[in-house]
Amino acid sequence: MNEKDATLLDNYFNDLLPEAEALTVRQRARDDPEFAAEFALRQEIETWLQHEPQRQALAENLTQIGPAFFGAADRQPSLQVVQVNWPRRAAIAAAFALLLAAVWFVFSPRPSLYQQYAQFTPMNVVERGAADADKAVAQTAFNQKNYPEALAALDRWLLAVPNDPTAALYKGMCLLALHRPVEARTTFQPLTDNDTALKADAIWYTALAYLLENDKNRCRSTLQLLTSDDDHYQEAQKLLHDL
Amino acid sequence: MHIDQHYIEALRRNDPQGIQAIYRQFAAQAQRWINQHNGSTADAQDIFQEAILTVYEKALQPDFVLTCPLGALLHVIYSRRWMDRLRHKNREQGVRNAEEQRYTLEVTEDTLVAAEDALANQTRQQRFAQTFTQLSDLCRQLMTLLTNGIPPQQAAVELQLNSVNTLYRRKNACMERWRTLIQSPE
Repeated sequence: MNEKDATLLDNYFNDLLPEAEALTVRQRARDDPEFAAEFALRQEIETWLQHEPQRQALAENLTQIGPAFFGAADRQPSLQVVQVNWPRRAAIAAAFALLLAAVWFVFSPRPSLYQQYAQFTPMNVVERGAADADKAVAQTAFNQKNYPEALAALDRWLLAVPNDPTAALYKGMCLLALHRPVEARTTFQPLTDNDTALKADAIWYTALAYLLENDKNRCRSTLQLLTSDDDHYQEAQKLLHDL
Repeated sequence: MHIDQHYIEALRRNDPQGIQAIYRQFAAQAQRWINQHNGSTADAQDIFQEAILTVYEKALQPDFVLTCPLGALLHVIYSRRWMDRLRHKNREQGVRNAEEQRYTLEVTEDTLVAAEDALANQTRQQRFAQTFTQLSDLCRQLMTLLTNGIPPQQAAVELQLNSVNTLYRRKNACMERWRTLIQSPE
């Protein structure tokens, strides 16, 4: 593939071409086999990237749900018909109930460490009478756990007021709730790097992002940045203990 | 469209209840089969999860429609995956052919075609995943941000790049590197 075509494809997939030129690219992708192969590969890559958060979310769900359905069969007692007297039968029934309780205890799905700690502080940013539509939408959506809508509203808010720390913090929380920890960490970073009022919150949620990625070392070192005067310090100590 | 299509829709929605229904319906059979072939319960859980992800990867294609029973499709996929894993570990040499023939005889041609297609697709997607991890942190963050709809201006600020032009230049270079990795021999 020549450099000109490579640039053309870059511009196409970066949405930088006017519609007429984009149409020509799509036409060429139908007519020119060599160009079509490159076009198809680029499209596959873009699609793979778009689906990655969904893949990760499903994989995490399967990891949570799966254990409850495997293994129980190994531990069920074999059923034997034996003659027993009533006290013995009662003792066996009690033992069986205990066994079932133990199986249930061991194999019932339980929240991961991340899920235990991922509690998001409700948003309370809209002042009475204020007419900031994006803030209001973000707050309502966030507090109703509608994170995709909250994220979209926070992005609009940040376009209007770039680097607003509150919007950045809640945007990071939305990304975390949507299982997009890398972007969440990137969003928290300006807050953790500077002495803002929200620094401790940003550190705490950055640690949760690492926890979500199962990067326990970085989670631990991030939690250790919190001092005893900071918000989330107690939770951080508890999490450090659980890690 | 097969009557089991509702399971595919549940996977597409990442619906926990639908996923539990899949496990409830098909996990025990998978566990029995893998246990019978020298696999542990942990192996069974792992391989069954891989099989679900293989089906899911296919279901991400908008035009995908299930045309065979999901249980049969999962069975062919986890059987094949488990045999591949055994072969990889140099265990049970010689079992593969006989077993493949056995489960091949038990399912319809449609199911086999669907399973082959899903497995080939999964291998391709795993290649993307594996090569993506070989890119630099900056490349991965940059492409993830842009793909998730972060405006380029904002992505440039977040990644501490001078301008949107610089951002696109980096992205194009990352893409070229990724393309080369995908196409290079494994």
